[in-house]
Amino acid sequence: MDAFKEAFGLIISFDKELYGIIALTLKMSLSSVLISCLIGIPAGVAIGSRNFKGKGLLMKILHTLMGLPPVVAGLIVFLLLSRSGPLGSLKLLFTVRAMVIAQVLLISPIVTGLTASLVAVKTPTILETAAGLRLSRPTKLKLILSENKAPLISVVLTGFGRAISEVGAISLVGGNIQHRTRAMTTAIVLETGKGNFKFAIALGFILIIIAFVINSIASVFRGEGYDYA
Amino acid sequence: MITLENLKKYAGQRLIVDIDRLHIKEGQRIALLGANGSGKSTLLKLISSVIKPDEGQINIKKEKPVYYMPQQSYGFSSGVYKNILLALGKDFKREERRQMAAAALKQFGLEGLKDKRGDRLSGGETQRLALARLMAAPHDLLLLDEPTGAMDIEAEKAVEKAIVDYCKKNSTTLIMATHSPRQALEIADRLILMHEGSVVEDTSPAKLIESPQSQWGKVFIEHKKF
Repeated sequence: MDAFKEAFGLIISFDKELYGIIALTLKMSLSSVLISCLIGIPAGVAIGSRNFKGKGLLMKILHTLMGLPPVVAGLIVFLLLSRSGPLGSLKLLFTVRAMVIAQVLLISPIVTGLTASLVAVKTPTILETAAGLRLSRPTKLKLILSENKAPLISVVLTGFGRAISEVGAISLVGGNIQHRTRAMTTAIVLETGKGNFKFAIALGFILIIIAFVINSIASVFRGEGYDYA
Repeated sequence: MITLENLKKYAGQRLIVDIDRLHIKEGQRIALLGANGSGKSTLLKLISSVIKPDEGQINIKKEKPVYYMPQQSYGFSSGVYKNILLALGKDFKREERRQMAAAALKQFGLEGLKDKRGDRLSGGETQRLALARLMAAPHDLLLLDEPTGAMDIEAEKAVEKAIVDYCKKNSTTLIMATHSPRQALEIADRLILMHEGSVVEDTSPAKLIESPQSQWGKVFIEHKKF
């Protein structure tokens, strides 16, 4: 119980280290999700809204990549960015950028695969209706996005959830360096290992609050609260 | 208006549309009849270019635009009125669009649903919305795929009258797939009966009902109630 009180004290006293970690985590997670969505949503819409040769195989590959273990993604990025790796000259290892790259590798297939599956439900009917009305190509694209708004927001949330809760990949390529690459999840693992539960609890509590706030904002955009009339 | 030549469409190995030649004159109102899987919907999709033929050609006079209502129409999530405005596009002035949309709402009994989301309508309401969207402006060529399948008989009859009036007023060429010989008689001046992708009967409504020439024509008429 004391640990909870102390954790609450850290939160309300705006502990510099605690809030530094939160800021870094949000920056990393939002960047990862933004980049993953910029890649994954257009790709998912393109795959999900039409039938083409090889679609089945492509979806199988995507579904496999959706389950990519974070440590494997971290290892791939580590090998690419390590001094002797092909991208070693960029000197990105143990930086937030490296953490974002690892997360994009993890999250992009999730965003693409989920978008393709969800968009496939309504989009063929939307496109057939729009074609029958002779609507322009930009209008069709706008309709695909607006009519699939709720599932696409869920996709973004899933990506964000994955980004903010991820440990394996970012600890491998980020190194969990204090004030530089320490994120909320890696800090929780470290502080729990050290027996510093108050810091770990404070971080855990804030993680849950962030998830709740983001879900609440998303539900407004999703237009939840159905009109049954 | 439309000429189909050596038209073939396959679904895997199965031939689902196989028409040697079919000519449709300007201003004709055609009912496509046939059992499920006879190729009616596929033929409409081919004419509207939603799908491409595997063989053959579809020639449309002066490449006039084809407006098409699929069997499963989608009501866009904006309001019913906005759905109609969207369909009218930018070809008309703002005030003109508003008047046309309001007239379409009235004609298809959608005034009370004006602000309701298009994706939260019942099946029959969605079909009325789809027709209102399509028929808010005059078109030369209209393809309708079972446009009243989810409607009650009262709404169905009102819609049938609206379709005939629209076609007469705008000299519209109409091709409509239907299961109902009664509806075909009500709307069409030419009946085409399809079986396994081919045209087995192409005649006037009265002739098909009174003396069907093909085996499938007899079977179809016998099994359908009027």
